[in-house]
Amino acid sequence: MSDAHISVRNLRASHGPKEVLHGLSLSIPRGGIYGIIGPAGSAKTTFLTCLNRTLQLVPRASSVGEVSLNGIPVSNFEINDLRRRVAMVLPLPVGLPMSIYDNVAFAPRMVGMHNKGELDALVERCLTQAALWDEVKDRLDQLGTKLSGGQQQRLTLARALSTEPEVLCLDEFSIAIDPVTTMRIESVLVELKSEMTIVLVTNLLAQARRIADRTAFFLNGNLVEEGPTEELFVAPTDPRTHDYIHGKFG
Amino acid sequence: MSIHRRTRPAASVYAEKAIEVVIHLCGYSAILFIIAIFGFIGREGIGFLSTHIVGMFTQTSWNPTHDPADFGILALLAGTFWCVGLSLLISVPIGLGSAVYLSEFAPERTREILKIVVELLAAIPSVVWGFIGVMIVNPMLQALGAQVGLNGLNGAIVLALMTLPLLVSLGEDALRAVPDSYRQAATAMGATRWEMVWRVLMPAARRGLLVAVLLGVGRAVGETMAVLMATGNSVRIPTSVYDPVRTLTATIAAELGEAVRGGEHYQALFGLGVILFIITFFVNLIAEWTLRGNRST
Ligand SMILES: Nc1ncnc2c1ncn2[C@@H]1O[C@H](COP(=O)(O)OP(=O)(O)O)[C@@H](O)[C@H]1O
Ligand SMILES: [Mg+2]
Repeated sequence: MSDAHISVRNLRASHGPKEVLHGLSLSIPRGGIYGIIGPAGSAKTTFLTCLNRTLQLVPRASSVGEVSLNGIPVSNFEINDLRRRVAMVLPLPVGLPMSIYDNVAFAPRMVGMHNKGELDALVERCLTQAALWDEVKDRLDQLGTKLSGGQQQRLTLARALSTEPEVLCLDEFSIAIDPVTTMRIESVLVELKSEMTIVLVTNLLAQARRIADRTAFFLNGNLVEEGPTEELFVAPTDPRTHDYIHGKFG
Repeated sequence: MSIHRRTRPAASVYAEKAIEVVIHLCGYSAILFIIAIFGFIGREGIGFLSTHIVGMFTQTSWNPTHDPADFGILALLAGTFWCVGLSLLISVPIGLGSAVYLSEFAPERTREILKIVVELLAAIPSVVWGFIGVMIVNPMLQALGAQVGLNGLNGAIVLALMTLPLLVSLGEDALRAVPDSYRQAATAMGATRWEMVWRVLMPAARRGLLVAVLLGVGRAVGETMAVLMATGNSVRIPTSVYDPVRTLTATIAAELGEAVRGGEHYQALFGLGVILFIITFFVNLIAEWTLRGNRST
């Protein structure tokens, strides 16, 4: 691929002595939704944490290999800058124990944005992008933790967008929320994909098929195959991919 | 006979009942003790309070053995709150700082060792702290320019050291009770460790931290031996940190031995006891309420 946004070469990662990601290479093109599927334990989460270097927060975890963003190794970025560029939405929604407004204004304030008008505009934009604005615009000062699970997941998304990331990673975002919210977030992602690269780890094959432009299949810490989503689902080249998408294991 | 058809011997059934009763009594005994203690202090002190209350709260001079006697407690109250307030200025930043370090920054091994040390600190008897006030803090304050080394600041330093273990261990518990997902969320947004602590963990744990501080206050208000030894025991409303002061507790401890049993002075000291009891009771009550609020959210 000529315009890889993220390129990963020979990435190995271990939890303690146990290697869980075995020399994986992959290019994620700029823009669009890049789906990652695979059974539990195939190191999808570990892979994501290598992209914004949150892996190093996990006790005893380590990685070697090259991960680069726009051709620059992620290890060359200032760590907090990297994490603002590569945003992460975790499986379980996390409303931080502060107001809805403060949840979204948290990251911008950290980088010194204090102008009320600017913050207001940004909060409104992020909440609108996350399809939450209409539901909360009259109670922005309410605690974020008091929202429903589905709303909190959209709040989490709004917060991830508040750093104006170039890459948005989502790790099984729909695992704890209702189908309606899942569909709303899916359509949000489809709208956002023209503005940023989205890496979508999902346990729902149908979700990858619905919205991912390309999809990669991970198995036991290896990349089995990847390609345009429709091709991968209709005509996988590897029999293991075929088995997985037809529910034979995992 | 099959095992299922066997019944327990009657003695064992009665023993079971008896144990149940004893355990219930143990549970209620705490309430009984509180009521008994309050009853005891109140019986001696309430009569005095009811006749002298206005004088107590409007005068500053405490001269229970003069004729006519003065029973103003304003200076004693001021001494108590002065020492406690100053001690909080020292113990809260250090205590909560240590709690943050232990829960967020310290490596596993260091944390285990430090926690043991903190617990040892909690086990040092009050009188030893008083000794430290007299022998160590005293000359240090004099070296820093205090005319008398036994003063309010000395008492506050000693109280701060005494309440630190409580603040550290309760504070650490409160911080560690914050879900890891908050830490991950903050870090994933590019918060530095310190920003995460300050903007996410401290607010999330604020109730628990407040409870730690309040219990520390309760402990400091009631502390007697160490302040008796360290504060210099001069009845006055302090205007400088180097002024010697006298607290409610020290007054009771120092004078009860000389007061004639049943006399006015004796009853006045019990009156102080009642006031002290009420203060610590309310501090603990507020702490309890704060904790309750925590559970409901
Ligand atoms: N914190 C950890 N400590 C030890 N092993 C871990 C840890 N996190 C993940 N693993 C192991 O790494 C492997 C990959 O896990 P993960 O990346 O979470 O997979 P996935 O997200 O695909 O389910 C699994 O075998 C898992 O047991
Ligand atoms: Mg996972």
